Amino acid sequence: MRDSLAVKSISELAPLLRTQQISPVEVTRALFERIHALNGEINAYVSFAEEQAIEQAKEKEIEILSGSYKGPLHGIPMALKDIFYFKEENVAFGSKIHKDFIAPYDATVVAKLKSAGVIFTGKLNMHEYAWGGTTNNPHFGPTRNPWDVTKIPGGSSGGSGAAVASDMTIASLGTDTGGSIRMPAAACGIVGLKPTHGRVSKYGCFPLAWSLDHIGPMTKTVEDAAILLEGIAGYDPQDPTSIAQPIVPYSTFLTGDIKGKVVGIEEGYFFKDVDPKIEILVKRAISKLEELGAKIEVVKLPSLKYTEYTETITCYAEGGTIHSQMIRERPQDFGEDVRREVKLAQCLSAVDYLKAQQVRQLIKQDFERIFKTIDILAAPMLPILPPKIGEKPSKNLGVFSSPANLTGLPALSLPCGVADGLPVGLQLIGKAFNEAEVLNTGFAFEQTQPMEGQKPSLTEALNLN
Amino acid sequence: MHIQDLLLVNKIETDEEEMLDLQGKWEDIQTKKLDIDQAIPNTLDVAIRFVPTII
Repeated sequence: MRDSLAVKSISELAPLLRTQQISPVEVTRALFERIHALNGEINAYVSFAEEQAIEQAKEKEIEILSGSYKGPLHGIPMALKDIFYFKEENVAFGSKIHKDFIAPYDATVVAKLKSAGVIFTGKLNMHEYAWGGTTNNPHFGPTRNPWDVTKIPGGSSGGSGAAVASDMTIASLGTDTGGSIRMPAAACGIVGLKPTHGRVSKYGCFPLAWSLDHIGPMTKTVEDAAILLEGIAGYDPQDPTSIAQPIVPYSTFLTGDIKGKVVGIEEGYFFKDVDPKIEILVKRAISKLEELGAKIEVVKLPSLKYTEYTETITCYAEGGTIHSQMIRERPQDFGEDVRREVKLAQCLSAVDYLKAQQVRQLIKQDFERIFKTIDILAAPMLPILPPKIGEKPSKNLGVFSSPANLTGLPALSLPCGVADGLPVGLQLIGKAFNEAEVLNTGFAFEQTQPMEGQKPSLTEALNLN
Repeated sequence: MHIQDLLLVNKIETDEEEMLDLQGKWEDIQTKKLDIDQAIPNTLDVAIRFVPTII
């Protein structure tokens, strides 16, 4: 019974908790059995607090029993990426420099989840300061992909991706500056949503590059992503990039009906040099959308060829500013890869940065043009299958994810099949603040069960399902 | 300006191996920058039409 609780989604657990058929304590204990069995191999958690989590679970149990049920997140145990402030708790951002940092307050997303009744089980590994896509962390060790422990889980939210995929958390949050929610979601075979820039407050989240950073759900299903987005979205005056836009109950928009919707496909950039095994699965997924009633339209986005430069310069300039003091005072305390990036970032000029922002407008205008005729753009999430840990990826892993960071548009990654024993992600990009459409399109595809019978090999090997 | 000089000006210390890596990355950026300069020539029209968004 306990193991079966750990593998369930939020939407499966919530009605059982609400009707008191199960207790939050049972779910939390089931998760910790899983954590004790798997974390030594996967290294998704950098820290966990079992006793405190059980205590929280007992409190939630009493609240629910007393008739104060708060909603679908009440009594759900969850671990988050180690980048969000938890008041009076250590948060290290995957770094040595901040290993003893105590957060002075709760991040807005943490405060929202606390008030929704979430139980916190621990903190999840990440690429140092979120500056990289492998989660091969020199200070906390590499996180391993549950589908193949010799491979990376993607990053920078690799701990979140691996923990959700191996059922060591029911769901999680990640951050995404160039694809750091969606890349690990694709690499680990889970769902990852980067909402529109400004939709979710970043107050109390350590920044990588403020104009590119986003916070979003990493979950087992599209419905869970919708539920979790409802829990964290909303205007926050404490975040200068937050935008006041109406929030809708995203999960109620999941009808699976996409008849008449126009799905765009762009081949000049998004399918250029993609692994043929990935291309086959993604194009098969697009055909499924057509079978479900969507109309497929070919579009062109010529300015995308400037994406890599624009993303790199923007991330270097903003991230390099954030670390400008520490790279001079404590360079030896950065991991090798991040240290080099931060050093290089110090050499850019204001003209480089602002020129990149001009090009960014060009890319934004291209997307605005295509979204006058289409509802969703479908594309691959990663250009290659997850490489081995310690191996330099043969291609820029963020090549297909970064356009949505530069434009701020909502983008979803969801699994669309398995190649060579590793999951493949389909990316769906939508119009600004139209997460509901993106989620519903993903939900419609998910109903075709592209991952039926497929599970990470590690959990199968340990016979835990 | 060479990357070595830029690092020196910015008071960033490196060893030889690191410098080689940074030099490769820097040259890659400069190559891509040429493409950008060709795509968006630095004209008054561009300065007016592609102003980075403030709000």
